[in-house]
Amino acid sequence: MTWLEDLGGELERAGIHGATRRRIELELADHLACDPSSEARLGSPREVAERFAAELRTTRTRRVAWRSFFALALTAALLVVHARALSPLGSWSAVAGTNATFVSLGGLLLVLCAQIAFVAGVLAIRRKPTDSAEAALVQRRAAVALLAGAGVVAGEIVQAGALEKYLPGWSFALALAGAAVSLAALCACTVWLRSARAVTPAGGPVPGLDRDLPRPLSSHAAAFAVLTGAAVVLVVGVGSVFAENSVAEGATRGLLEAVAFAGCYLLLRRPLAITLDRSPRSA
Amino acid sequence: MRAETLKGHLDALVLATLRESPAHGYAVIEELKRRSGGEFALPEGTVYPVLHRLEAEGLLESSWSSAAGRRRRVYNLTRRGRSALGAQEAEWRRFAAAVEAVLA
Repeated sequence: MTWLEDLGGELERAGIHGATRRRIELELADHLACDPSSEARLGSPREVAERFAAELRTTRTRRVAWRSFFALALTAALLVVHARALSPLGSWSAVAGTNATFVSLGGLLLVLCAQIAFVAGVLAIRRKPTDSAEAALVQRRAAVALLAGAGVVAGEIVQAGALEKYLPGWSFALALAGAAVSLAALCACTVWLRSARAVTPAGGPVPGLDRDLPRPLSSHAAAFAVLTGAAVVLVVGVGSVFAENSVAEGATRGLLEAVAFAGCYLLLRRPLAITLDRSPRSA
Repeated sequence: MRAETLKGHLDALVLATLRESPAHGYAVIEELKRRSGGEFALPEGTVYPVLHRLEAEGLLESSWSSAAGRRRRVYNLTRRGRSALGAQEAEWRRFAAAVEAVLA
């Protein structure tokens, strides 16, 4: 087996396929044609393939983190379209029975997933992947953000479906079109995410939330997390008091937000590496 | 010179070899060796991944050409690459001057 044939196999093994693999092979074939005695100086096919994988890992991971963030920003912007599409309804009091339940469920899904998507998306672009473990982490964060983004779209579709009979045709079509555009952007990101994952080995231990925070906040990650949670609960609670003109409603929603915040933190703290223990490198 | 010593500077060195004219990977490696008087004889396989990354970062652009019936990828510095090279050069000169001053 020739050096180039070996390289092809090693590139496949490292997760480099298709046009990228073909291009690398052609470039190195040209190199060997220029100097047939340079095989030893190039390094072993495995070393060359691993170096390519390491470079691709970093660039693909950074790219998918930013693209996911923009896809989520688009999804957030299209929530305005969703709200506009539902506006002919006027008052929610006309909606009753099962439809009302689905509208509430859709709304809950939408609010919860939007917050998770925002947090995971911001965390994905905050961490710079310096090694394969951090690249795997950024990819996990992007995956959670995209999944939550899909949850937002699902919430929109559930609401639009439950309200179909109360809305004019154009309005229903507008709601579905907005959801479809968001979903297309999120799906495109999953393709880029897969190509980043292909060149990334399984992740290892990584530093927690302190690594994502700028100084001097990095020394107070636990206080930052608690204050962020309190601020979100306060905004939801006080906002609901004014929106619904009811202190009881504000207190209920604030409490639900607190439970959801704590639950999501406990569930996602390890996959998203937002643990509060201080890492040795930033301590 | 050990490859580890060069690691942090390889981007600037690769960009510098492309400042005057476009070149393919083998020519970049040869130019690095020639300009450094053979000091930068790093494993040649390290240069190609760097070329790919610099292109992904928009500092280089590349296109296929043909040479002796073979396909050849030729790299060219972009405007962003030229300005990144200028910045890295200035940073290196400051660093080298400071090291020189300490060692003197």
